[in-house]
Amino acid sequence: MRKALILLPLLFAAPALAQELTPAEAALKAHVAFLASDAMRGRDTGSPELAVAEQYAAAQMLAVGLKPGGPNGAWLQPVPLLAYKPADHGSLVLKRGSAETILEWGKDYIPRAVPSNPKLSLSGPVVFAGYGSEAEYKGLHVKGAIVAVLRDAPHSNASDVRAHLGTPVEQSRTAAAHGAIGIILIEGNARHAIYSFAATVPHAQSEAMTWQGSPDGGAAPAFSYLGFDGAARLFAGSKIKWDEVLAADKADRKLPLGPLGVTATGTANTALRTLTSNNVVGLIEGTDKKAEYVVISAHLDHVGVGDPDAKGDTIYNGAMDNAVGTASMLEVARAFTASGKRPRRSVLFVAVTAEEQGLVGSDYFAANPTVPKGSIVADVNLDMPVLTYKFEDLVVYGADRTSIGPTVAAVARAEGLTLTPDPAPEQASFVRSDHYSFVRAGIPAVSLEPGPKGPGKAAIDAFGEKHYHQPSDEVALIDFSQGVRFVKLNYAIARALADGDQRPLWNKGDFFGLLYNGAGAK
Amino acid sequence: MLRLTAPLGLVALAAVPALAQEAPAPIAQTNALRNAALPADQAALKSHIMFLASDQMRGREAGSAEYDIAAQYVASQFYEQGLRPAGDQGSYLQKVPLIRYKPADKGSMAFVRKGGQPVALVFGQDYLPAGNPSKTAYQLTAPVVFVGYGIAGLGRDDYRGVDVKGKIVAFFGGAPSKFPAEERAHFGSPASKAEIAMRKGAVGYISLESPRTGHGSYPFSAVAANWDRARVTWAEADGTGHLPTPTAPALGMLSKAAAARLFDGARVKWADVARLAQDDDARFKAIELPVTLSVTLNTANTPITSYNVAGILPGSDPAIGKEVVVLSAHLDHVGVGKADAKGDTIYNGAMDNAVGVASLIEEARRFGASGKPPRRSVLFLAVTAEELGLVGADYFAQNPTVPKQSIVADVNLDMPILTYKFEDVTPFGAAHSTLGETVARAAAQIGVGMGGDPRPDEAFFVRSDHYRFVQQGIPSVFLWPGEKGPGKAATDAFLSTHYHQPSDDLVQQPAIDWESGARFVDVNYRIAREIADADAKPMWKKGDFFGTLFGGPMEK
Repeated sequence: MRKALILLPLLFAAPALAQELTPAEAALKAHVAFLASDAMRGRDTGSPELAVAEQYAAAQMLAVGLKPGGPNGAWLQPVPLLAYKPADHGSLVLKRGSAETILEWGKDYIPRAVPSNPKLSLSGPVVFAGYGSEAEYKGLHVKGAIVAVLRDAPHSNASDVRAHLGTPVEQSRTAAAHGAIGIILIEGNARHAIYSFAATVPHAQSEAMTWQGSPDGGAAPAFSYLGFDGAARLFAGSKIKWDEVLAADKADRKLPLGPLGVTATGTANTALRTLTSNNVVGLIEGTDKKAEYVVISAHLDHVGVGDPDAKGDTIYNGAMDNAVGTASMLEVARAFTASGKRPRRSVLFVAVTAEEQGLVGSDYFAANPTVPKGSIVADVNLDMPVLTYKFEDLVVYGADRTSIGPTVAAVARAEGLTLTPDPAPEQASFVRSDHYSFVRAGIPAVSLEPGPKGPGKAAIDAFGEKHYHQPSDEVALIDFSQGVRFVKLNYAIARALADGDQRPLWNKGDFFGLLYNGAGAK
Repeated sequence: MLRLTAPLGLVALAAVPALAQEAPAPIAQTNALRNAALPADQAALKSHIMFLASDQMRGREAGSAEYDIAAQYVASQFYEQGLRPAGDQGSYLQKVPLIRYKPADKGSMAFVRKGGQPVALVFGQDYLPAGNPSKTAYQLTAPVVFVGYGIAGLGRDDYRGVDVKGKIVAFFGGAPSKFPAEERAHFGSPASKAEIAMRKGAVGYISLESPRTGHGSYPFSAVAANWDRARVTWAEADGTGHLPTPTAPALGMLSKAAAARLFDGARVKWADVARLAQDDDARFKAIELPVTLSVTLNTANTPITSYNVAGILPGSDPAIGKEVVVLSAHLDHVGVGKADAKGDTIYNGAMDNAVGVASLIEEARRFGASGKPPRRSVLFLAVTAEELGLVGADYFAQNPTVPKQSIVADVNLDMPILTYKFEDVTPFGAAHSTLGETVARAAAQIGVGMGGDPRPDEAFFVRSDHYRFVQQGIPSVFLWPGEKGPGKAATDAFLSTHYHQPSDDLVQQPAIDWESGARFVDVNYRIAREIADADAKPMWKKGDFFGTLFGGPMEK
């Protein structure tokens, strides 16, 4: 699961492999114990240990009876990664009439790295475009202008749509479509509450990744990010008052929009580094519908080695995030081959890289699939299921958008489980895992997690607070009897999707289905 | 498989043969061949080698990060196969404290005649110092006694007529060619000679350059070229390096010229000794030399932590269930090194010994799948530092995680060459114990015969980990696919082309035959199964040399 929040460290002791488990539980645990061992040093993207993990995933795919599904009959799909970060503090200067205001790095603004334009320098009149959503541009003249937008989306949207529209990539795309030359992002109330500008500053120079040739970034790059202080200075002297913007944002009202009467001149310098990692792809060939593919995906990478926790542990093992997702994917594959019954559609198992770096491996795969474009009919993604308690329900991100939802619901019902809507929409989980990469390629996609019912909420909260992206995310946290239930569910879902008469489709008129031209949406 | 202990390595760096010259096939075609579909048992076997011998594992050198990852892999596989942890403190890992040691400087050697002045010997010309891991600052002064080959055994006693108590013994390397191959390998090793020297009461030993080289006797110049090369041992509880003969350590080597000076004034002339030494089976008269030798050795010890991996299937029998059959395979290889002709620097060690470890894991699967627990306990052991001198196995054999007396056999898996359909098996060490009959029965069950040792000069019996169990008196054996039919050519091809080369990888040519791999697992499983389930435990043959030497259980 990709990081959105900064959380506190905490203590946890990891006992050894010992207790008596069933063979199915032991098989699952064996994968996790290996992938999340200290020797694997947190499987950071670009690290030798992630490269070892790729070999492990490929070898295990062979062992469970898959065929190579990568390019040219190989197991690995090379992903040409591009790492980027701000090279320096950049600059942002405002000019109103003859009065010049030099904004202060770290207090007012931080520059954002722009991989497509590593020596970016922009100047233009600033227009406030609210959340930068399509509707808000109506009547605004932004051609040649820099637009300032809150890093959010109109609150009237469904939570997943809001999360999607609030990503800088989407905001850039929309701004460029209207002729803007760049974006200044501003923190809004929602983001301020969960991850404030001040909290961002210590990480201002950390690295992010994309893949070489990715269309992201575009013609209106988001090159600068302002906190509340910086925003106040940007709006000072303008007809639109910053206080009113914040108040309207808080009250879910329409934001005041228009030119701010100020010219911004900014620079953002980006340091670039190329690296290679791989997606690992295994295949089970289908029968009568084998030209259609159902993808089961799970990210193999985690965040590596970092700051020590209170116990001095520096290795972020990533057992739940996402060794257990990868392990579950491998065991779903084993369930397919062990059934002795080939699926009607082909099934691709993809262990993706660089998820923690921004869903980069899955985005690369969705944009450059190793099977014919358009032949992938569904993605079921496994990312950080919290398997510490006896779960009674499931949360399925994306379930209510496609026909996968009813399929999942039917499978869940058969297992005595209900589906629960996203219990924490403010976490924007829909855009924070790899199924979103498939959504953006127009492919019906879901991510499954054990839900909050019964002991679930407390357990999920406890994991999030104590272990998420911490050195304590270790194998001993996991209840493998629940892991086996999780595998069984995912197998049943994948089986239903692969064997159904009708391929999975978007719901008619669905926002994402329409946006990305997905099958069934029109 | 351990290199022969030559300073240069006896296996020549063979050029990659002509097949490398062919135009590369399209990658998709190559991948299709490499990844052709396999039956489940063969795919399982191959998957372990695909992982362990991948370039990303960088040759699994003991002490490397990649070796530690390999250990985690084996632990997780043992766990999945239902083995219980049999390492330290309820884990699958047994920590092995290794020490890499080498001479820290040139040390010094000097001799003195009765009533004379000390004469300093010259480093590199007269002498080469040894390392002493058990005492890093070491000094010794003692009279010197010449004892020929330094061998006592097989009807020969090179110590006859001399008292070496409190003295330094000097001897030639190697062993007579009249000895049977395995005994010759045993007696030719410096470790065996050191053990004899210690038993006779000597306080140190020095090797003499011989006019005749080969078979464990090396020219002084060859040894000088690598005089300070590092060796590896394991650490005792007090942190000092384990030396099997702490009271009779190696002191170093003397050149022919220096030896002649030590003989000066002795009752036997060096010229006569040197002439006699031309004969491989020479018998020398032991004599005290008219000198006292002073030796100073300084040794640099570097600790390295590595691990053996141990999992156990508990025995079901109330009477013999506590007895333990060890199945061993070394997990380490030689790491990253000199580039080959293609520029490859990663010594993958697919055959040596990812295949052995894979077979070990798959044997565990066979035990589990049989649904019938073995009568004796079976301990699956992946050892470290084999390539550094069988060190992990030695550590386990001397510090086992089960009671030492409970270990009744070791069946070792090391570098079986799986590039052809084997028609017989070669069991190293079979003739020494009842394990030979076990191997013959298992081979017959899979429809193949059992050959003898086709390469006695290679001394394979003392070059793999089972030998460390032999030294503890435990009947042991290890198997290779035999040399009948296509076997000899295939074995020659592997040894000359891929052994300890970067090309020993998953896709080596000729290709690894996975069906042969599955048959190899099958025959080894049958051997292990019979040992584990038989009423009687394995015994050394009556009067057997190794059984006698190491005090193992013997047939009446």
